[in-house]
Amino acid sequence: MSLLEVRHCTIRYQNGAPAVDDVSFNVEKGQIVSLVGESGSGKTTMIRAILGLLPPGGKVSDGEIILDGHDLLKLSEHEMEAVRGKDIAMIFQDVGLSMDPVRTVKNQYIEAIKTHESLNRKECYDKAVDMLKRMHLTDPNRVMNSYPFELSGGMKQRVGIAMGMTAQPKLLLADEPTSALDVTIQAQVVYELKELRDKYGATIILVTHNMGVASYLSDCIGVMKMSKMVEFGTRDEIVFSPRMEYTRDLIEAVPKMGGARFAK
Amino acid sequence: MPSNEIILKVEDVYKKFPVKKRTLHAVSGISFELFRGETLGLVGESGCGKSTLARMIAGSLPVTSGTITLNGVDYTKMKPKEFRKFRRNIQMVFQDPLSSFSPRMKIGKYICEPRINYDRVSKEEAMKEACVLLEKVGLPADFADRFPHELSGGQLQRVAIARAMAIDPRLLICDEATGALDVSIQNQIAKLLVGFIEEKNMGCLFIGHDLALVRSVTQRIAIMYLGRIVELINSEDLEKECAHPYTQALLGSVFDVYCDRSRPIALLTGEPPSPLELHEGCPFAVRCGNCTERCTREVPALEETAPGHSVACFNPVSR
Amino acid sequence: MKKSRKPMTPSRRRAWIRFTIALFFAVLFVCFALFASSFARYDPLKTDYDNMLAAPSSRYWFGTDQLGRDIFSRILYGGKTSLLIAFLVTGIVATVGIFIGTAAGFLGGVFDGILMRFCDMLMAFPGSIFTIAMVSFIGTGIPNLILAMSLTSWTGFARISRSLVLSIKNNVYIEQARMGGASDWKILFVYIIPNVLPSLLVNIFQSIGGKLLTISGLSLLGLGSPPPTPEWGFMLSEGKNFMYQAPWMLVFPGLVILINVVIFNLLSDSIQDLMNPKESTW
Repeated sequence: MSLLEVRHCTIRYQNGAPAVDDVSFNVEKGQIVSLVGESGSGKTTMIRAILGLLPPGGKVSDGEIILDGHDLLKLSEHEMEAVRGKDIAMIFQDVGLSMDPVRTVKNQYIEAIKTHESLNRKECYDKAVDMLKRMHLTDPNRVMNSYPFELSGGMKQRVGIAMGMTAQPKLLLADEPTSALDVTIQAQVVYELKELRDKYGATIILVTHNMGVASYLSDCIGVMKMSKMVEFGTRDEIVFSPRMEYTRDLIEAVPKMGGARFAK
Repeated sequence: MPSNEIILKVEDVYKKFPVKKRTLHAVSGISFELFRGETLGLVGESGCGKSTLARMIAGSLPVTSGTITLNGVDYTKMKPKEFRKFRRNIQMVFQDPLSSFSPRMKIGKYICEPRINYDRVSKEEAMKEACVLLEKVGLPADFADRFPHELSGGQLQRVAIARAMAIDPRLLICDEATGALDVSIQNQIAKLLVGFIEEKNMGCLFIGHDLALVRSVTQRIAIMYLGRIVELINSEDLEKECAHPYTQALLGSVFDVYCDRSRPIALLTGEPPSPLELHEGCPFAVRCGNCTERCTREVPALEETAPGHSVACFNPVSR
Repeated sequence: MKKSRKPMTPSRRRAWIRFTIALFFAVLFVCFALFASSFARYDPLKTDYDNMLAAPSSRYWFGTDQLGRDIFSRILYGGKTSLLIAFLVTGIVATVGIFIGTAAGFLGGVFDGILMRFCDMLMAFPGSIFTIAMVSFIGTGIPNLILAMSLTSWTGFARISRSLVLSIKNNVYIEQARMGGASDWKILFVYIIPNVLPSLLVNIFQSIGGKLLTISGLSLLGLGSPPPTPEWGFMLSEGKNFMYQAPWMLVFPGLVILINVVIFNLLSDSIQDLMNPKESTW
């Protein structure tokens, strides 16, 4: 059985045209699945629906989202809160914005652990430091005592991943986790995500518009275009033998190092 | 095709910002030349000073020291009144399309503005030209009557290019002009830009962070690190010839669509040092694998190692 | 030409409805005041000694005062004075404040420093007490009232417009405009002010409501328009002497002041909602 099954999911805002239209895909345990597509194609809406955090006015009007045999759409808001953070965690494009700017990382991190586990402050702190070390942050104690603005973009992003992974969720959702970063920092974050899967067996859904990152990390890729999932397949199928013209165009359009040059 | 005529000459330009009793060294001694008809790429990570350099060349920011000459005229020390007339020679296209438009100004008027301000043409005349320009950048002429928020990001970038082209500048600066766009749109805008640069035979400075894209639209690329150019190389030779360890690290960080998934990621350790506390020696020394004792004492100068290829490194990667 | 308009959200539709209602009543009251003579049933100054302190009736809709003057007519004419002063003061204050604030924000430097410190100084005094002191110093009468109120409240507009200009001044499109050869004047009048003004509409309408209250307060203290000119606050002040015999002398002017303040606050509030950039359609 798949860890996550999304079946014929349709999401609308204010009863307008669907933002996600009849999308289905499966995520197996230990896989990294990427959703790629241009801005406005509905990929972010899709994973927000899995987390049960659609922006105001958004509603899943049809379909099922099944995590480990339970339909998440049938849970009450209260039950969903228990699922978030424990079974499903999310990393955002800019972790800095999702953190409280006037509190240290330590305070926020410990609080996050305490909502799901009954540990004392010391145990929480040790656990947090351990997670930060796993993310290859060289000086976890300094990071813990910093305010978010004192950390660089790459460090914040790794803190975000560490916080998301602390409760060992079944599923990690990553919404454009590398898009706001420079290329060398992006490589670091990609490295961490890959290690999460290889070393700790994490299951990750990655939303990105960076085809290169998706291609490097994913086992499966879903291509979205104008609310619809136009193609879903293994990484090799999508990258090397795409069946849909749109997928082919999308891959074609990505600038490549050895590729054609416009300038003479 | 680039000619041998030097259009822009940047000589030993520095920019320092005072920050609470300390000094932020944004740009430290940059020199390069840009030929007519050439597109020069400027690549580096955020905070490396590429945007500061671009704004100094555009004249929006005064230089701390050094000279910048366009067609032999040094405009860094011009009087404001004189410079306002001179400014038509340099136009700029910015990254975020929407924020470079006044929300309450219609597209047509936006394109007309430079012609009216610099050449004192009548409004009707300018509007006629604007419609022609709109069609030239691939947009319907009736877009002139629209407000910026009614256009998509790619369309706005086309409009911004049309506006720059209206007054035939000698130099066009594109500051991450395609950075905020989807890949398919990105290519269209890149092609449009390359076409214009060839047609008008002007110079172009193309700033970006996507190496593959910058490589595809430029003849030469300058790699910047912490306020300095560390390597200047022909775009065609980038992958094969690059010699600076930082350039190699940048190339190693690019994920190609057709990449080998089992290839381990070559990670660059650490973070770039703060431009507030520059240490002695090569700025890249602390993160560099080839670092020697000399690198921590002296700053390597940018020296030509082969025609059209300069490197600032004591221990360049040999091939 | 087809325009791409986003569909209206329910909260936005509610804001439009509130705006329309408020605007309708604001226009209605302004019309009453402007054309008081055609709506009034009697001369507001005409005394009727047979009907002093008469209760509301079909003859005198809102009753009469201690001199037998028709309260309904006096309220209509009173609107002329009250609204006129409120509009005039807001107009003066907004023009002066916006001009000084924009100039300070745009020019910056020493000019900005001096002006803003001066504003701080004026703002350090409690507004209404300062106005009272001023009126008692230069004497009562409508022109003096307008002068005193204007002198004490332009600083608010100066501050707000300055901060709005500062937030716009460093926008990329201003740099783009300079590159397009626009002069300082052009940048100020074509690029900055059109983007500042809409945000100030909210404050302008709110100020009208506030000024109505200030005028009434001053008149109540006997510092407003001189008798016998009908004015809402002054009517209230006269009414309080006959609170038990003729409560209508107090109730109707009070109600009218209340309604007018609510209308102008509602107007400014709905404009604020309509201009919320997140839901904006323009």
